Amino acid sequence: MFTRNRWGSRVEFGVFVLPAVVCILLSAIVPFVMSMYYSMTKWNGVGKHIKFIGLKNFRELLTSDTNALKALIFTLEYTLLAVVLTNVIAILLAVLMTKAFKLRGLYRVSFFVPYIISLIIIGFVWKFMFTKGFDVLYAQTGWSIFQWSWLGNAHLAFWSILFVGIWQSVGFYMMIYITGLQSVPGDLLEAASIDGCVGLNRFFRITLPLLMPSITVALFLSIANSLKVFDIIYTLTFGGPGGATNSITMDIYNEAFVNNRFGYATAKSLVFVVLILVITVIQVRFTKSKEVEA
Amino acid sequence: MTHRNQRRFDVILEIVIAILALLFLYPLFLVVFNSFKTYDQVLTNILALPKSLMLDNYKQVWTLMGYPKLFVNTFFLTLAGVAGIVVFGSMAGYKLSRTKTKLSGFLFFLCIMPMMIPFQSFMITLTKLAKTFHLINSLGGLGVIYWGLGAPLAVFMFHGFVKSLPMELEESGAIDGASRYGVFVRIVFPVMLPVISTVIILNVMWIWNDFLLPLLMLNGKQSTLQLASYKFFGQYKSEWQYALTAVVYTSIPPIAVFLVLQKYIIKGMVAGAVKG
Amino acid sequence: MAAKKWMTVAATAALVPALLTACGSNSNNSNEANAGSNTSTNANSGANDSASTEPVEITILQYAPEMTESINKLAADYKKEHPNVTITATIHQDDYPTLLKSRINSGDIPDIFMTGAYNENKTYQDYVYDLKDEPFMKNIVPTALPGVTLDGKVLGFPLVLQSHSFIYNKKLFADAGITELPKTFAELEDAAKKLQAKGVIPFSNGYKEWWVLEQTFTQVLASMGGDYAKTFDELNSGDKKLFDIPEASNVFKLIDLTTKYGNPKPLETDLNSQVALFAEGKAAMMHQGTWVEDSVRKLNPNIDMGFMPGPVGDDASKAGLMVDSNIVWRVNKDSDHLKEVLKFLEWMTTSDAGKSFIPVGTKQISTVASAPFPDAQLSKETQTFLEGGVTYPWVKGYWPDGFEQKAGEILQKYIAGGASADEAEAEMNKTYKTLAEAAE
Repeated sequence: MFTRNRWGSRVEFGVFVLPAVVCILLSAIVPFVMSMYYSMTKWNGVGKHIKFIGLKNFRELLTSDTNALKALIFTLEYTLLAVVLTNVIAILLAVLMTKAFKLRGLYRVSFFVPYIISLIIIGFVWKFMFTKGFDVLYAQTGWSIFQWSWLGNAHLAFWSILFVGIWQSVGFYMMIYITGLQSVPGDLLEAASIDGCVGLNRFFRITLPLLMPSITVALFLSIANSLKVFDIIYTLTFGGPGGATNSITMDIYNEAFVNNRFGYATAKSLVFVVLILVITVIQVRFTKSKEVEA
Repeated sequence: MTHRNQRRFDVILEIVIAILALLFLYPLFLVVFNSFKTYDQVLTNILALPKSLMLDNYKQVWTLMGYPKLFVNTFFLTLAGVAGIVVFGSMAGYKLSRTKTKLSGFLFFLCIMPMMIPFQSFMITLTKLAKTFHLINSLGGLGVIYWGLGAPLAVFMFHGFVKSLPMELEESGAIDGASRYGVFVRIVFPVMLPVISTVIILNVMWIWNDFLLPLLMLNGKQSTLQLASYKFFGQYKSEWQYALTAVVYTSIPPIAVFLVLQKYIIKGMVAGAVKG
Repeated sequence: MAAKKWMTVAATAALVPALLTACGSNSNNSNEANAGSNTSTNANSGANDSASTEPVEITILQYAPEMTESINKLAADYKKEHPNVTITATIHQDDYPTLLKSRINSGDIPDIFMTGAYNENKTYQDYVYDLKDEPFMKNIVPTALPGVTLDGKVLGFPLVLQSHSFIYNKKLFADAGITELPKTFAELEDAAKKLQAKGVIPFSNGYKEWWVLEQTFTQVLASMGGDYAKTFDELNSGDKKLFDIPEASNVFKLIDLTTKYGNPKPLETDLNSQVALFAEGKAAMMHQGTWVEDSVRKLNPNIDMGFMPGPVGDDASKAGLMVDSNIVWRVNKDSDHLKEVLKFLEWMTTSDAGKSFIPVGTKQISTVASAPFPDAQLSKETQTFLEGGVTYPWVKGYWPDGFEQKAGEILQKYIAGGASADEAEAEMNKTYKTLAEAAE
């Protein structure tokens, strides 16, 4: 119906699509491509001397940068755990939230509120909790768990960041799954019950497969966001103690703005973006193949 | 399981959930409690309840921040940013979803690509570019920058939502004699209301809470609530009681927005995010 | 030619505050009256320099939020004498390097911006005006000048003299029967034991802050003495490794000592908690600097505290105080109103209001020789050291960009048990080399 006029539909396509594309080009793609030029230079980020050095930055990154390697391992471990735990907990909460609780709306808000508050403030609040709050809790309860150095011990700091990361974002993913669950047709579940398919069995055989489209989306968003984890670490530990919680984005940030190696930092981010692309594309392909039509 | 057991189980479950929700909010309750205390009281025992509903901090911070003006600034910035993201994002998401060509596929990829790029890696060049286009030093200019940064997620969500809409929707409109644009404005846009509210909420949260971009783009000529409240969190000294009060002040508006729009977000997420 | 013209402007400008003080409160009144009626504003500036009655805005971008109030006062004071000049300061602490770099890259460079001294000279040299020939730089104390000098050029206006070392609580020391301040590691441990016996935590360690460790390290390192510039040249060119400096390894002994007799969870203790432990009298010593005076007094207004010559090994004669100027205002050489900016800096070193900005406003020591002295205990103690004690410059100024933070992080790792002393040394050597090469 709409294809009668070829030019008309091309203009129409442009009118609809171009504003967004132009904005995205302006704010993200073009600046990113521009900064990629620096990946082949030696530049401190401000000076007027920009020296072209070819692929030297990439060679250094791939052969001798142990910091970047450690940051990569940290980021991958964090992402794996954060993605799995966040999504499992979010699905669990979502299933519970579809039950007819009296204060259901209130619970939803409670779990979602941490997501509303800015990450800088979240980091601040938890720093406050881990240090001052736990001291008082220890004094009151005597439980040694509150005496542990949750931000000062290299291993515990990882779990603290993971915990706060999940605490902050789980409400958002819960919302995605709640909506997914609501679109699972009730008659299908009823039919399943009649067939004797109830409880956990029903959840795994019926609900979960039908939830697959939500899972695709939630996984995509949580993987991309976890790989880019920055703000929580910046405010909670600043990568410490002793670089134990340095994520790749922290490493890039430090390289660019603390070590004044802007050229090298952009080389790192280019490699990192390619990595994120590969991981997310594989994930979307994989989960899409598991989706079923309701 | 008998019926009575089932009900008892549900009650216990609800109690567990309620406790969990309280624990979840506990750190945020602490923020509110301590905002009613003096500096000494905060330092001596942060877990203690405030002795009285002391409003001194709130009065102090209100003037120290210049709250009313910053509220207006932040509100305008958020409004400008969100409006563009919703309008452009919905148009592109809709069209890219309905057009099945290679170009369309490529443009969709281009649109969502920024979600995979860490912001730190292009912010310096973004400021350069923004300067060239005279977008720095003004709230409006910053709003325009938000359009491009917020559009990827918006396009992604609208794209997914439109996929689930039947084609007949637009065809019926066309039969009524509406133009292609009219069909979008009068028929498609209203149907997308749930996902629109979702996109609004997500972007209000983000822009309202954003710190780095206003810091880089406004150059102190204008300020926002986040910028101002961060002044209380200095590296060399923190005035906890003011900082916490500022947290409460800045967080109230987005929570209010959420409470108002949350009915739609449930519906919006269902339909919007699900069919990626 | 330009310099000569400037000289006359400077000379007349210098007279203005002098006249104002001579007239006392009278002139203040007349100034306020002038501000009230627009027609007569020319009366007080027009005669001196007819060129600058146009409205001018001088923008300042800086960190150091403790200066917020005093900078507002400074701007107001300046406006009183120069009604056409408005000074607008943007003060931001976190993400400051990001902010400054993006401002410079976007070409929207403030007239005056704050950075650190030493290696930052090199980083920002392309944008900074050389103050070498400005007469008012003679009013700055010589101690503050090496930090802003690069290849014979003077690339900044040093603002504050700061010092750091161990700060101690005099009463707690007296209670524990410590009559002589410890100057070696052995004496320090002795003192720590006495304090512990009294139920006091000897050291409050804020090792969550990488810069606290970096400052502890530089203090040990500075005790090597000699020609720092030459030593670090050798290091930066790769001829020598950092831990070839024999004094450097002492940092591990010092850290071991402070953590053994320190507060629990040192790596989780940030500046605020560190200061609180000390101010509340729970701990007797902390490694900190003049900048904490205000925060300590806020918690405990009457505390009697002082600087200890920091022990750096077994040689008592090397214990000293780290004094330097590491907060610098840099002048944008392409500023539209360079003249007005220089005039303002001149005023900073000659007028009473300008000279009291740092000592009165921030309770720290001004770099201006004739400025009043701050009414602050730590600054007074610093003065005593400058007059007759052992002092060292902050040698971190010779380090390549980024090593400050990295050194602190590696020492954190050592404290966390993630690296032995040998491993930490090796990692610091390697990191130093990488960053030095990158800075070439």
